[in-house]
Amino acid sequence: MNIVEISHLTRDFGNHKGVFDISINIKEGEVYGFLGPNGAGKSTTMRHLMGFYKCQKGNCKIFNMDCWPKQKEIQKTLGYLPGEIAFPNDMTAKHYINMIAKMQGIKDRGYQEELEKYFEIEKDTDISLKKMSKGMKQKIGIIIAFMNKPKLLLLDEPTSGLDPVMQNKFWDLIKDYKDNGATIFMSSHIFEEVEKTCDRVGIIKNGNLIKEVEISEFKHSKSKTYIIEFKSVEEIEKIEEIEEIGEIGEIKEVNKVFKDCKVDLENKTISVDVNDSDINKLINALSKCDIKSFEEEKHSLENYFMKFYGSDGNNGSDEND
Amino acid sequence: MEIMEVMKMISLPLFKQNWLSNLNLLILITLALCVFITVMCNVFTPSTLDSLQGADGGLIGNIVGGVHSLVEFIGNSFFAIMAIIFPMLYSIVVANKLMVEKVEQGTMAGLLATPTKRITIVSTNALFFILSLVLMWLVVFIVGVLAANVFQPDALDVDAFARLCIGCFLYHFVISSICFCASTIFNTTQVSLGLGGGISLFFFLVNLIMKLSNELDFLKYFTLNTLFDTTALISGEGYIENLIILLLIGTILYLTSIIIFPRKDLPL
Repeated sequence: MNIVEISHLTRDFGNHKGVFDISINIKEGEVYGFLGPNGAGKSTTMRHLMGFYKCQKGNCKIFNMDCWPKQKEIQKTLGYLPGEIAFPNDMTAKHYINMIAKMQGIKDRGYQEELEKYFEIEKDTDISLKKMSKGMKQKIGIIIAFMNKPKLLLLDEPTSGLDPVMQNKFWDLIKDYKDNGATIFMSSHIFEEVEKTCDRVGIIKNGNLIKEVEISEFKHSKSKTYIIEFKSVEEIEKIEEIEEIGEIGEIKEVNKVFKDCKVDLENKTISVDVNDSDINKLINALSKCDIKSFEEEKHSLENYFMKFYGSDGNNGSDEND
Repeated sequence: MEIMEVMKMISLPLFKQNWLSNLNLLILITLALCVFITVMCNVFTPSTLDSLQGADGGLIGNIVGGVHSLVEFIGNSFFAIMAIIFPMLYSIVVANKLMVEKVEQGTMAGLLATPTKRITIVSTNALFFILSLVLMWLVVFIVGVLAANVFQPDALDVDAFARLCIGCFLYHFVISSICFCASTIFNTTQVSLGLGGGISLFFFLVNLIMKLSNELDFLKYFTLNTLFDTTALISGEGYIENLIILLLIGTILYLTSIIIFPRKDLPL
């Protein structure tokens, strides 16, 4: 069953800003990551799901209910963490959490206290929200999003501002929720986070959904790429499986035993794709050579993603925080 | 049953928070009004009355001209300037804090992420706004009556003073509704302040300029203050129509806000 159904969602803010013809379906129990550079339309999509915006074209449904007219029905079992958290300046964290809890209609406050302890802010809730750091505000936002034990979580860049320990704690919490069958839709531009937590990723750029990929494709890939650096070029020539060696500086693609073997004479390295079943052949071939280093190049989401990121320059991953 | 339905339109936690957030300003403005009204009761004595009537012409003469009683003195001075400008500032500031500031800063997202309906949020804020003004004028009325009794027993026409307070409250009911409506419709404080505050201050200024000369009488059609006619309120004749019009304008503008807010896109 699809919990979130976005079909042909379009919102044009003019000036090529907005989201254009986005369709995403998220199954029950799935953790869906939404990757994209700043200003790509991640938050805009989320805001449609929250019923802050009406859809110009297309529609959004959650729990099979339309997100605009039924927003309050949906929000009874939904947790939302905004991308830009803003709290009233004239309240303490405790007062604010209490107010929101009442507005959410939460009667049992035990879980909220548990979360406060989990994120180690139970002693700081008397501090005015105005004086709180970004990370502390983020924790308060996370507690508010989770405290009604939602079935669906919409998290807009959930770990921004958190220290690495808290990031890990947060990812563990996501795992717990996933194990309990919750559906999670989170936007991010941190690859590590997405790889650790998500089942599937949608890549969005300039308001268009360009690609959807299963994370398992990266995790359980049967072939791996190894980069081997040799003491000298002569060492490379010792490998019988590689027949032709080009001039210095030339990068040659050689296909014999190893598919996609690239030889880089200048750096005295080769990179080779090897199926897990062929790994012994590679070790055998290398056994005669004097090797400087041997490393596996991760088939990471980041490498994959950069292909889409890089195509027009200015929007790299410099915003990772 | 009907009361229960209406109660659903109000969010108590938000209502409580509205009072806490705006209490300082409410107290400050009410206190200022109370101080002014007390001083007026203290200052106005038969001898000051004589000296004021002696001073002929000029703005002061026009404003306090034809004063024969304490309530007329209060009507021509306190209700002409202080009672207009101070609550007006309160309305401009609070209206912006209640709606547009929450949208602009993004704190509205937190409220809207709860199952509390948009109509409940806007109704709660409107109710708080109106009640805070009721409270303000109730306090001013009580303090005015007490002060008059202390300084000049039996000199104040309490009925006329009550009519002035009610009239002034309704005037501010409209001013607040203008500011609230602007604050609900627009998404940036700049525009909301410019329009809501601008219109309110425009009314006040036109009214002030009008008093400079009888030839500027036509300006009365350009200011809301015309509907707050202190002379009619004091005499107790021909004021009802004005008050009904004020009540209608204010109600329509508040209802407009309540209808618009649940239907608009929010750039949160």
